[in-house]
Amino acid sequence: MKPETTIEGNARLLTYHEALEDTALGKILSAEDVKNAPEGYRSALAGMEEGTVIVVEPHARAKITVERKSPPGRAFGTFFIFGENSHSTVFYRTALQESTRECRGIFLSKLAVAHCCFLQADNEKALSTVGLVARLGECSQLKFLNSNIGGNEKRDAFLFLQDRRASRCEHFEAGLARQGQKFFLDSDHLHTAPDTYSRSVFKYATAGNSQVNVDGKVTIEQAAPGSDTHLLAKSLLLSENSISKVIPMLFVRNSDVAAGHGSSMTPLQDEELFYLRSRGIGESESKLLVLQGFLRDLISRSEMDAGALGTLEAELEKDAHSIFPRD
Amino acid sequence: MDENVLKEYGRDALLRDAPGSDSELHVGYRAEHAGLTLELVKEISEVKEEPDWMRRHRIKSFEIFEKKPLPTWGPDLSHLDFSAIVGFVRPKGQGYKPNSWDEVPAEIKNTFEKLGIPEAERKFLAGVGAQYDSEVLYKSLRSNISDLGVIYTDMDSAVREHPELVKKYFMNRCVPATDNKFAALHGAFWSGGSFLYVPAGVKVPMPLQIYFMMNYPGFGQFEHTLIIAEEGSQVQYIEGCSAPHYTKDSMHAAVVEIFVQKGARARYTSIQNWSRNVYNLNTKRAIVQQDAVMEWVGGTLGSGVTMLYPCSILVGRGARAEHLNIALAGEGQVKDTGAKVFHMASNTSSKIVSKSICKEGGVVRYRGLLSVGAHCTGVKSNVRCDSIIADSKSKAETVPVMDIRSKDAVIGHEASVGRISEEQLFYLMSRGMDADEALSLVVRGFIEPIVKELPLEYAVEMNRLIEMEMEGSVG
Repeated sequence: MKPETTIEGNARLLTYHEALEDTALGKILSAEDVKNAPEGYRSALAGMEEGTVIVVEPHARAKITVERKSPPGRAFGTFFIFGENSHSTVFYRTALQESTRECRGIFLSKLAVAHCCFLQADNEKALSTVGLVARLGECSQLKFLNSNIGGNEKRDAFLFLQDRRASRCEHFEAGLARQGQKFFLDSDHLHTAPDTYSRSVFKYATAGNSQVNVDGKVTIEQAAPGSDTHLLAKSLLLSENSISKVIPMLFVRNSDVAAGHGSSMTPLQDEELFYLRSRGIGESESKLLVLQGFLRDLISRSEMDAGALGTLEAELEKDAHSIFPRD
Repeated sequence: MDENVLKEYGRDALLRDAPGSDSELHVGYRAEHAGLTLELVKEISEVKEEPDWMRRHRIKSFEIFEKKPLPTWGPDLSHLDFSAIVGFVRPKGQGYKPNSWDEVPAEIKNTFEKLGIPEAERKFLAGVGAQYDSEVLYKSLRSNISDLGVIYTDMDSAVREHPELVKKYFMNRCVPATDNKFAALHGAFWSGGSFLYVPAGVKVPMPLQIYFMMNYPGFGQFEHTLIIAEEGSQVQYIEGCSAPHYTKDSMHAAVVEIFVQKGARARYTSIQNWSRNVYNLNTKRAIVQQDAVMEWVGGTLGSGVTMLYPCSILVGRGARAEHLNIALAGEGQVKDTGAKVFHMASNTSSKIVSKSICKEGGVVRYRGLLSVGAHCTGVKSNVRCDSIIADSKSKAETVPVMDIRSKDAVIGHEASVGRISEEQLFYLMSRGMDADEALSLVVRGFIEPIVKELPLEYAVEMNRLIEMEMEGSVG
């Protein structure tokens, strides 16, 4: 079943097979990247029952909203191709009931700018695997916000390929893991061209007996002098029983780089709670505010479309209430 | 640095490859064939006239060694040929224990004198030891320290003279032979090393020190260090390692076990400068009890391939661990080093600082593990790892793992990789320094947090060595 898709601006919706028949698009989609792509991407692509391709024309502006409530099969694909010098915003939301595998492709041509917001708010029994390949063209810019609040178990494996000079990629992850939920994120930024820039910020709050595993890897190859990268992973520990495992990895093969990573894992801070309590706010409400502040900070930094951010914040607030009900 | 200071301490040679010499000249007894075999395990045990329990331990360890695979992660060990390693070489002069430095055979004494052992002992150490190939040749302890009940002897003597202590702590709860392939190998072929026992409440005022020399070509050194700091005691222990360069690859697979009992404080410092054809594959671990403090200070300068991850297991409430390490990798060197801390009790804290420099195609890799167990409250930890990558042939990597299973833990981690800042060099050069001086000052600043924890003479030599290694690295 096709996703509900609304497109404003100069963009078109194709099936994967239609896109493959177009020589130029086919070349992008069947790129040699597939062999470097995460396992989740390759397996979903191999078993793909339906693929949707959204193409933004060169020099166009587009606003795209995609909503999936039921999948076209156990494995499906969603691909975005942003033409040269285009400017686009994407809001992609899933609310699936079943267990699925999905491959996502984001391909930016030269000078393209894309702000993509992905919200996964699936049924709490759904198991999902998402493999993503994002390839950035010369001087292109990608802001990518991925938010996990639904589902029972979610395994994301993302590859960001920066093999053209001067591309910029900002990757934000916001997640709230509740009782019984397991989130596994495997993020890989590969810099193989000069003057490429990447920032990754991951924020997860863990409650109940949830588990969050974050593997954040950044590689700067010898052919990427002048590259600049930083990865930050933050966890807010809300429960005694949750597990939070973070592995921020850096592999640098060039001396002319700025590379760093940081991570922190902290519980709710007594000082912050005391400040709020001293102003007459109840305990649960205070914790809720701190939690919202933790995630909202990231969401606002992502500079996504206002409508998308409103929806995202509302979903997160709803989930946060289930952890800290109002007094 | 003032040359007279260096001369006075006579430590010049320690941090460089030791002077080459006729390797057979020093040999008193050695295994007939190269290769790490069960026959050799039995032979070592027989030559050492060990008790039956140790012989059984060796044989069991060998069985584990044969079953365990090589690590599938980390540096390439495929060139490591166990069948070419000479597993046991007893230096000439062993069999009787010299009571004074004068009784040590002249040719061996010459080598160690170049390392400054007699001067060091007289000037600033509470006790000193020297291991040559497989066995400890010389060990002394100041009488005022031994009067306090401190035992500082070589492991072979400890097995004979303090069997109850050795049996209680040796490779059973801290680093069992089942831990990894090289620990099992060590359990089978161990020889020499230090045994240090500090009774409750005793504070050893000066560091104890041992020097390890690998002199025989293609040799495998497997010394065992066992340190027991009883309740409320304090001790500092320093190791220095060096070897001449031969064409055959050598191997060093030591095990260090440290027990820091309630309220005790132990510091273990190790400066490693093996020659570049040495595989340095050690397992070092401490079990830290309530309110005790364990400090690891390390400088990993030599060897070809190093895999070293000192580990602190904080099992008592309020226990603390500090890990400070410098790694330097030049051409052909792979330094896979890091630290592991397991927080298994409440209110425990740890700090890890790692500084790495790679140049001329060298590889430095920080690999760390920080684990906080469930229901451990009030845990605090901070990890900092910085690398300087001097040229584009070299590689710097960081792989820190953080596994947190407690709500009440405050964990911080920061890492950076980059070249030496041009702004800093420019600033210093604009004030009249030449490029090498400016570079030297920046590098000194980079490693300063660790060097300042070293004893003076090591700090001086470490700075000098790194300066020498970094010469001509600007640009």
